[in-house]
Amino acid sequence: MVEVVVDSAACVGAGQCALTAPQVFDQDDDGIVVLLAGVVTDVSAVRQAAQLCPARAITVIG
Amino acid sequence: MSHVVVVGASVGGVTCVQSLRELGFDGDITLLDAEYGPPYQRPPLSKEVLLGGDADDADLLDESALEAIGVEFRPGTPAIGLDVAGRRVRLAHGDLRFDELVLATGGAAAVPAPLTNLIGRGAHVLRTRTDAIALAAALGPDSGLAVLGGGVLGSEIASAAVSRGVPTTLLARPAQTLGPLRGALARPLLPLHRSRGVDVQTDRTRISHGAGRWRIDAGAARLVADVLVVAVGVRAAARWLARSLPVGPDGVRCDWRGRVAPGVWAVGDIADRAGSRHDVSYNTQAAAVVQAREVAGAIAGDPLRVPVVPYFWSDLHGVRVQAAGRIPPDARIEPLDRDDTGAPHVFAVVDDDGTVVGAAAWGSARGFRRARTMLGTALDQEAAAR
Repeated sequence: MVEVVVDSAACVGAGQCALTAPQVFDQDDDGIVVLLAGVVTDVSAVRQAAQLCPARAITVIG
Repeated sequence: MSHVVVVGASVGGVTCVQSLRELGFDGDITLLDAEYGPPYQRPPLSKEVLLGGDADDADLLDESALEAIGVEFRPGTPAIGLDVAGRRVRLAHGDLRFDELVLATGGAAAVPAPLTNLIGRGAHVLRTRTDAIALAAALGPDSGLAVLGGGVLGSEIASAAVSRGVPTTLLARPAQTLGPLRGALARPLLPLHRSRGVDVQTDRTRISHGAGRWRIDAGAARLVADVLVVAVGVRAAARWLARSLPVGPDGVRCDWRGRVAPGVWAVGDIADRAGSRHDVSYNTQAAAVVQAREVAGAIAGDPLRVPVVPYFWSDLHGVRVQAAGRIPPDARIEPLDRDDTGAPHVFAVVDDDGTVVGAAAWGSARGFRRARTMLGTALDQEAAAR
């Protein structure tokens, strides 16, 4: 289990996180990241989402 | 024990070392950087930092975070040469041996020969954190700014400056491009600048310097500015590699995975990567990040398994400009939506077969998401006409 933190002020609306880990990330009407689950079990998908975020707005803790 | 050396603590370099560890790579990692201070990302430099924000906000992470994952970070240590066959990077004081080398030194502000005398007389460029701090300090409501170059960087500088009340002139080409956007896709650019009070000049300009000010002749207009920024492009910082690797004007040539030679990889602006030229993310941070993850995966034996959609963004005058996918040179541009003034601001990019290969939008997150869902599908003419 890891904890996920998103910096919505830094989010640039690419939507890559929602493509990579749709169980954890969504986008609001402005395209800004919405965290669906702060603590997750599918660590690999969440890590990939964090690695691929073009704004580096996702942090995985643990 | 395997040793990976990453040259350049750019967003590509940092993403690469972090991804290597997250993918379980347990060899030695050394991260070299020519600059001093913690690694930072560039997009905020021409946005938040110019708006007067804290330059530290651009930091990617602090040095202790690199130490915590077992990365030896060596700031102030430029690489000056490379022995590919001997797998050694040359530093000012001795060589560093590697098993795998990742080149992530990015680019430098391009200043063509006719403009170099402007820099000598005090014109600014904007590429590094130091550049951004210097430019932010020079901007004020009592000093006029002229920006030479109307691309992404010049446009973002003009946008930040006018919002701070700085009288701003943008010296741009009449045929606008904004990163990957050109033609109809870039048409909203100059009207947007003008609507927010930027004085846009598209005539051929002559710039001279005297008595501490810049004199600018742009067609019939005679202008004076206190601060001049040259933002006419970026060149790959690859000269130090020219004797060792295939280097062209766009950087080090590498295959579609970022491989340059046995044990040598390149990511970001320094990489002239096969097949990426028409991606909207070409030479942007978005591409550097993805390439860094791909190369880390190749080195660690854990390739990326999710599809990545190329992405581009810019923020101008509070309007977010977004694009996704590819824009081939001969593609057709279909407007999908219009703004309040009736001007198209959401677009689909359609290839020869009628397939949507790209999407772009100015100030319409909703329109952008709708256009992006069309990627890879045949253009629905009814949807396009809506």
